[in-house]
Amino acid sequence: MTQKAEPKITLPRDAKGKRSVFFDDPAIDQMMTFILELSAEVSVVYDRLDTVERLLDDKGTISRDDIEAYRPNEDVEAVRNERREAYLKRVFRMHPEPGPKD
Amino acid sequence: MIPLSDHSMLAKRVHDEESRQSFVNDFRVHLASQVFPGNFPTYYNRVLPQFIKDKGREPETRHEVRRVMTHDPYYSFWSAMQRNSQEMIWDSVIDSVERQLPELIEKSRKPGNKGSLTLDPDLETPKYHVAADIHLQPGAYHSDQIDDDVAAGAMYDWGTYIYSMGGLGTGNNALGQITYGFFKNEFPDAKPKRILDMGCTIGGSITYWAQQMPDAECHGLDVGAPVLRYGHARAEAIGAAVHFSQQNAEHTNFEDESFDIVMSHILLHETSRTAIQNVFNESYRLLKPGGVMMHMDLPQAHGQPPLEGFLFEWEIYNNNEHFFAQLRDMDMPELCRKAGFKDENILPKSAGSFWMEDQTPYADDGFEFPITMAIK
Repeated sequence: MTQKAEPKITLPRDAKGKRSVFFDDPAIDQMMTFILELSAEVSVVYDRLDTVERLLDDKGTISRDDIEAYRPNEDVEAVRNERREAYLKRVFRMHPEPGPKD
Repeated sequence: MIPLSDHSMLAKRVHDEESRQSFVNDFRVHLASQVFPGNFPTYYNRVLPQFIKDKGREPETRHEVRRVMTHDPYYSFWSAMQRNSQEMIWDSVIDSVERQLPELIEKSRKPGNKGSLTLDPDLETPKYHVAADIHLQPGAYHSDQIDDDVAAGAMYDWGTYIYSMGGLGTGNNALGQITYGFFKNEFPDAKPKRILDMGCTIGGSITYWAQQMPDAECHGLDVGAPVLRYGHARAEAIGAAVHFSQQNAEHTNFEDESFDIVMSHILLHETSRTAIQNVFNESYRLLKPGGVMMHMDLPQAHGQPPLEGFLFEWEIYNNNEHFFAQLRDMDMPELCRKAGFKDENILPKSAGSFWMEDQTPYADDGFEFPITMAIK
């Protein structure tokens, strides 16, 4: 199926194929998607706030364009990476079975 | 996340898209390093004792482990997160590709002229390719959403890089680096004139070969038009001469004995029981006498303990890699023999870790890709 009309093109968002069900209650599968996508958005907001703070530190006043144009350099990305790791460890604290073979 | 090396076809990301992709990358690293390992104590301390209690013995096969582990809550939560992370990869790359698609198509219509692109609109996409979207990429590698579509290729470039957590390298070509390094090591004096990469998608591997061997004529084939259009434009953008064509690796239109090397990079496990033999037969037909076949794919089940074997197969059931379940137990030398290769010229090897660059936590993981190699 091809569509001729430009400019707006809508790409498919779902993959063809049976989706795995991991829990007895499929509602938990659905909740997992909500929680994980929400976690991603919290992380994005945190990065955006970090961008704003860094730009304010440097320039005192900023515009939306400044934020959009900002790209973390390697040092900043390393700091953010560390922050995300700590965030992931905190939010997704798992409970494996304790025992002799840990 | 260290970004991919920029080229003119690469979809540009706005601030939040880049941040979202970095999160998905870091989330996958977290799952692999912090959550996945918990499956082991879960199995040994909870699942295995219950199994022994019920059956009076340990599980003998990975299939027996599968039947009990898939009901364990720890495994289920890890699995659900892993599955979502795969979906989130594509979710995090679609927006930027969708927004820039008209300009990416426009750019791809005016590529350079070092290599070439030959499409075949009448080519039938094989069933194993249309049954489910491989790796959960929405729309798969072969579907055109609009005339001259390149979206599948643009998504694949960023998506596979995030999938590999940077392991494919900033040039998205680590698999090509592995086969190239392997070939140079095995045949240090060889000067191949004509090289074919089967199932090349966006040509990450064959483009690397073309850069290393500018005097060789390098070809890449795939069944998917949008990944080939993108791959051609990408190769031209980074200055490599590659001839892309839309063909099925089972039956190509190239002449008998016309290649010095016929290879593939993790193509085989996306095919079928019939197709894989056809691919080996076709490789044999295309090779010149003395030519080298190298098919690199994922590790097989031989010798893996039941738990490890079960865990290794997660992607079969949850990431649309269905044929890998059969490939795991197949006799690769037998496929070579049936294709016509002589027994003494069949040389199964393994080569190279996926995680070639220091940027991932898996640099010394020890994972190796098996290469089914045979000389005609």
